[in-house]
Parts: sequence; C-alpha cells; structure tokens
Amino acid sequence: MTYQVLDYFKRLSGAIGEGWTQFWFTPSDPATLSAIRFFTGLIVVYLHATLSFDLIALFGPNGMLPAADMAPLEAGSFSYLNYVSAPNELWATHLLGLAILILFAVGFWTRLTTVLGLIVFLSDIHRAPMITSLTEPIAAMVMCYLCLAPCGRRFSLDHWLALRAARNSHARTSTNELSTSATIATRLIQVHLALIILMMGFSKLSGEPWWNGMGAWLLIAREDSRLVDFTWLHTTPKLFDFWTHAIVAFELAFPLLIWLPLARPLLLALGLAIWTSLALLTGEITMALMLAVASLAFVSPDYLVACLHRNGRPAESTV
Amino acid sequence: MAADPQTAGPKLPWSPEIRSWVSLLLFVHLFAVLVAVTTYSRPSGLQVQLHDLFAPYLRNLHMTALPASYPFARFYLTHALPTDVDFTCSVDLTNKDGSVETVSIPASGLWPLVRLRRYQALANAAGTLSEGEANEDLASILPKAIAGSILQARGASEGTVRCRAHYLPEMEALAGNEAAIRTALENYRDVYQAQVFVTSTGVELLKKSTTLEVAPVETAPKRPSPPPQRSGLPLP
Repeated sequence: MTYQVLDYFKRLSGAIGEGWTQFWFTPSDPATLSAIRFFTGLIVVYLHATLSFDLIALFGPNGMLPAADMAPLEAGSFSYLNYVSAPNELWATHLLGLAILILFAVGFWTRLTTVLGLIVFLSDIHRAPMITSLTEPIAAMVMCYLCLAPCGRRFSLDHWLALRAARNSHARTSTNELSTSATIATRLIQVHLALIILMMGFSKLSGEPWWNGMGAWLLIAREDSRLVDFTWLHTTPKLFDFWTHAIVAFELAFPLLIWLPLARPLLLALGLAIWTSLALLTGEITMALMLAVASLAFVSPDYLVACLHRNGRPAESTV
Repeated sequence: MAADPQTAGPKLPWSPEIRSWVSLLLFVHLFAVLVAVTTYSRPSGLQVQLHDLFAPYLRNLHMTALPASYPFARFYLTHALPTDVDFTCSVDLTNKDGSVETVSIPASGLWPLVRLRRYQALANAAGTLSEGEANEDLASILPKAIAGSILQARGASEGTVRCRAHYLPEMEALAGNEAAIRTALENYRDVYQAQVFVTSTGVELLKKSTTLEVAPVETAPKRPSPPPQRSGLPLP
C-alpha cells in the first residue's frame, strides 16, 4: 500500500514536472510577441503622446496634480515624473519618453527600448493613477513580459537592418530562430491575461447588477462615459439581460476554455465581439484594443507568419 | 512512469539547473500575481497580508488593482453603487474683470477622446473620494488641487468648487413623457462643495456640509438590502 502511494506521488510529480517543462521551456518563434510589441507600442505611443496636450496643465507648476499633494493617492510607486515640474524639464522628459516609445513600437534597439519604454509608461501611470483607465494595467503587464523576450526579432526595424546588413555582406540570416525566452514571455502573457479576465468576471459577480441583468443598462445609462447612446433600447430589457449575462459568461469561460486548442479560435472571435461591446458600453476603446492585442498571445506564431505570407512566400526570410 | 523530458520531448536548449532557477522565479512571480488577482474583490485577512508582502513589487509593476486609497481600475465596471456614476467638478470664480465664470471638468469637446476620458476619470476620482466614507484628508485632495490650479491660472483669489454626481435614469422613466424623460436624464446632486482661497502661502479650502453629512443617523439594526428592482439604480 505504502509502495503504491509513493509510486503514485512519484508518477504525479514526474508528470507535473514534464508538463511544466514543456509548457514553459519548449522554444518557440517570437513572431507572435513581435506582433504584440508592434500593436502595444502603437497604443502606448498614443496614450503617451496625447498627454502632451495637458502636460503642463496637469503636472506643471500650479498644475491640477502637484506631485507632493498627490502622494497619498499614489501608494508610493516609482515615477521619474515625481521629480520634475518645471515646464522645460517636463517637456524634455516627455519628449524623450515619446521617442523611446516610438522606437519600441517600430522595434529599434528593441531589447533596450522595451525596458526603457516600460519605465516611461509606468512613470506616466504612477505619476497620476487617477487619470488612468482599464487600459494601463493590461498594457503594463504586456510590456513587462515583452522585456523578457526577443520581441524585435520580426516586424521591426532591427529585423530590417539585420536583413540589410546580411544582404550587403552576402551572409545568410534566418528570422525563425526558436527562443525559450519567447515561450516564457508568451506563456506569462497568456496566464496573466487569463487571470485578469477571470478577475473581471469574478469581481462582477460580487455585485447585484451582473446577476439581475442590469449591468449593461447601468453602463449604457452613463451618458458622460458611453461611446454610443443605446438607451433607446430600453423597450427591450431582455436584450440588456442577455448582454449582461453574455459578458459575465464569456469572462468566466475564457480563462478555462482558452487552453483547449479546438475552442481557442471560437473564444478569440467571441472575445473580439465582447471587447467591442464593452468599448461601446463604457467608451473604453483603448482597453478593448489592448485586450484584443494581448489575446494575440494565444495565436500560434506559425499561423501568424503563414497569414502574413499567404502568397506562397516562405515563412522564413533568408538572404 | 514519467518520462524524462530531456529524452522524451524536443531538445531543450537550457540546462536543467537554469530551468530550475527560472522555474523558481516563475513560481514566485505567478504566486504574487495570483495573490493580486484574488485580492481584488472581498479579500480575506490572509489574502490582504499576503498582498502586503508583495505590494511593493506588484505596485511598481502596476500589476495589482487592490486600492491603496481609491480603486483606479474598476474591472467590475459597475456594482450599482452611488459612486458608480459619472461626476463633474466645477469651479465658480470671479475673474479680475469682475465677470463670473464656471469652469467644468471634464470640459466638453475635448479631442482626442482619450483626453476626455482622462478628465472624466479625474472628476470621478474626486467625486468618489469625496462621497461616502472616504476620509476627510483624501476627500479634499483632488478638489483642492483642481480648484487651486484653475483659480491660479485665471488670477482669481477665491472660488467655489463642487463635485456633482450624475445619477442614472431608470429604465421605465425613459418610456414616460418628455418632461419625465428630461427629469430622469438630468438627475444631479452635489456631493461635495467647498470655498477655495488662493493666498500668498498657498491654497486653502473650507468645506461646506453636504446632504450626506446631515442625513439622519440610522438607529435600527442594518438589514440585508432588498434585491434591486429592474430600475434599481443609484438614487440620491
């Protein structure tokens, strides 16, 4: 009996160890991460660049959010913007940050600009969390994991420059080298995104409106926030019931079913519909975009590359 | 028997030692993330303690939504609470030329849209912190900063700052006549009001009492609230 119990735990630990190793350490193509880097880069450039309109009004001398006064609301998180308030200094750091984020998006010196871009983006968030939305936690999470992987291996200026250099020196270069760190970063995004979506679902269930079908109506009735006025649908309350239940059901189902290869395409397509509907309800367009971009982590790199080279061109670029 | 991953699966480039160390880091990180995610709503005492352990790491990477002072990221979107509405902050001031002006946040017509959303988030934070049980120090931080900035920008020395909640229309009210619809849509209430003075030493704020603070004290024991009706919206 003792032997059987010990044998069971030995087999169990062996199976878990093998599964863990294959899940995290099987090398993969960083193509998906490169695509995620590009789209995330566009979103964070947009978020950072649009701060330019209100940079001085918010953070400048006599601005609405003086660093010293906001400290009790910021929970002690680091931001280099806490140390600058003169307009010249603010503009210099802001434009430098913008340049770094643009370089990150286009993939130039990617390993460096990814880390610097994360610092810039986190500094923006931590300087004034009260003007952030649901986009920032997801974008920060993705950027954090991109720092771990060669996310400039494809769809980047680095890639283009490497190809050009190889062409000039008549050397042979390949873009589909497999990378273990790419797998780790992809898996981290997948697991973390699934947990965030699960949290979105569970946190809704702790409030009455997401049980009684009123959730969607309570969002659409907020005329200062919503993107589209759907209040004319008040005559069909069952539609709001369905909309509410669909959002919760999806957010609870996604983290479980996304790991099934057969269910994955369906869930990703449904995800696009649900994120779009949330954008319409709440006006959070960038959140919906960021969720869609992070969901790309579940798209196989082979499929992504094949889609980009549909015209019979090979998936790997060789010179 | 479990197969040796080295021989059964594809060849792995990292040595077992490196994989072990990376696995340990992954485990610790994922545990911290799991703690962050599970403490978001209704955490237990143990969860809060664990969260506090990882808080510096999680907060600096913006990976936790557990609020230190205010839930900036409301992943639940709405719970039909009195604070799950949109707020406006307005400052009434007298300009140097004697004209009276009201400056509102968010201002209408801001472009691009994300700017409007930022100012709306700011007004919502100010309104939420000044509503309900938020402590007095936190409640006045944003109204004071916003009003002080607006007064100084216009060279005014005195003004009144208001945080106003825009309550939601009931579904049935939209089926009524035009007057009923207008009443339902224009359902506002001031949740915070204060006089603001700009002096040589800085900005001073003198809060006025609000309806919340003069509400009758509840003497009966609290009962579980009845389930909201279809029109169960946050009402003043």
